[in-house]
Amino acid sequence: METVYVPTTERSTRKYPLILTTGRILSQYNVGAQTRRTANVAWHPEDLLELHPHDAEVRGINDGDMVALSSRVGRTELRAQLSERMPVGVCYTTFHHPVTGANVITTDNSDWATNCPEYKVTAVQVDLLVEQTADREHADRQPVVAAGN
Amino acid sequence: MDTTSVPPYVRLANEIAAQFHHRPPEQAADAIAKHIRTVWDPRMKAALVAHVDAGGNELDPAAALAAEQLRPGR
Repeated sequence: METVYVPTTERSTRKYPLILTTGRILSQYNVGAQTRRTANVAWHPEDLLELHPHDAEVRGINDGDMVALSSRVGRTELRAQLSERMPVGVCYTTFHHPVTGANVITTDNSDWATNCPEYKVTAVQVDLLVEQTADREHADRQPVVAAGN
Repeated sequence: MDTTSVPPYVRLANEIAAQFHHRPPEQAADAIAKHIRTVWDPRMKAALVAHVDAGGNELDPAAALAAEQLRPGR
């Protein structure tokens, strides 16, 4: 059946300036329901949000920080991993751990013929978790213990 | 896109209709109806027809035309 290219209705905006794409990794099968019960989990103990270092820097995010990931549809929290394999403006995560709730973020858009969800194009914002920042600042203010004490 | 303002069957019908906007309305309606008849749950088809009867709010015109072909007995 002949159809034409129809672009997604999802758009990045000032409020949601990044594009999230989700996918799988080699060590986990589908959602990971089976492979998370195996030693494979050592290779992938949690879902990480891969983010270009520039996108992270302007948000005050360091490698390993917990971040809030939000879209027009929902919000979740996960750990950031800075990665130059991401283009600026694009971030990526997997959906192998239910606690991450990656599919809470994605939209209801789907392919017209198969109803396959549009998991590769979701406009999102990423923010450093405030509680974590407060903890870090609190730690910075702790007195330095002198040597020998 | 705000996907929460319309029922799912309207959103899906509109997404299908968007694929056939390059065709004349009658041809587009035939293609949309063929797809819906083939793969949709009967309850969704009935809901779409009922939506048209209720005024067809937010429904693509080609999808509304297609819904006419989905009425029982047609």
